[in-house]
Amino acid sequence: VRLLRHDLHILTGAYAVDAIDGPERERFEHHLRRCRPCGNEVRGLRETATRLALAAAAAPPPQLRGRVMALAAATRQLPPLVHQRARREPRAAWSRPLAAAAVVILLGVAIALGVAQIRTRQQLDTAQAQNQAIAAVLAAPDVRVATAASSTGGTATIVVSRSQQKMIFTTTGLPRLPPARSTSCG
Amino acid sequence: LDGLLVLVARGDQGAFETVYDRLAGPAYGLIRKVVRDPAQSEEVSQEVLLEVWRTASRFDAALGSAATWVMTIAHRRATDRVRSETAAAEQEHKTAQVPAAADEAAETVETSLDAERVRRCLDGLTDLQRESITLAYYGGYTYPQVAGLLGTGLSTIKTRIRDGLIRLRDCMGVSR
Repeated sequence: VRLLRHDLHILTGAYAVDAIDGPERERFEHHLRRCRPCGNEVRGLRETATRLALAAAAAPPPQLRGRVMALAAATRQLPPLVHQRARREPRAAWSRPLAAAAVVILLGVAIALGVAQIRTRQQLDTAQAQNQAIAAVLAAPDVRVATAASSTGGTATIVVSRSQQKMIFTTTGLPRLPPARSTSCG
Repeated sequence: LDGLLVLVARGDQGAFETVYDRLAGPAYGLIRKVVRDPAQSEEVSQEVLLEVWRTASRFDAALGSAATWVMTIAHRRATDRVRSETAAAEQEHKTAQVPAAADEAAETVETSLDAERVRRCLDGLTDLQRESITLAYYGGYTYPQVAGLLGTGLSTIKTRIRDGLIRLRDCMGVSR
């Protein structure tokens, strides 16, 4: 690999005077795009070759000037290549408020998530306390359980502990309450 | 001259006339050396100068001087012309004849102060360096063709063109 690169680097001179052709020139140009020292060397050698051209100056045929000027007047010029930097500039003008808005939105989302987490924590704590209370009743030495069928269908269960002074009432299979009564209860 | 090309890119014809007066001579002289035939040289020169007008916006002073930008276009066009002609001729004759050597290539160097310095610097090269560079640049030959003309190996010619140009660069005080 090293030998190959050295070999390519040697071509800076031949490239500067257009003495490479075809695929070899393409290969070298590909290399040139990545090799900064090669590019610098080619530039210096081209400037040197230009001195050789200036030394060979000869008077062009006098009619050439008028012809070139007339053709130029009738030839549209290429527009400049637009650099990426120039294209990015107007985007920067509106990207700043956009970034600020994004920060505000993200901050809002973070706060909402935090609040939701605290609320969930509180609900969990309440549920845990309830579970503990029920467990305490069930574990009491004087616990008594009574189950009876309800007149409207389903069953009701009562768990009582005199020592704990607590009673748990739970039902299963009860019919759904009509909406009106459900709201009056709530 | 770099600033003039910026004006040319904006469509300033007066600036283009000044660029022409400064660089048409060197461009035509270089093209004559490579192409030889006066009528064809005039044609190629016209193409080159029109390309300077058309593509002036692509000139980047950070990548080299205005003169070098124009001479690079001129040399590229001139070598393209002779190489496509050579290819066409080879197709016709089916003979793998090496083109005639450009032995008088360095003779037409004008005796201006700059040209005097160039000649002095060329004299400071080894024969092989000088012949390789002269054949490649003024003769428009590829380095394998130069190797064929001089009867040397390819890697020798590649190396001689490079170290010869580096010696010329340092002799002429070209900024890197």
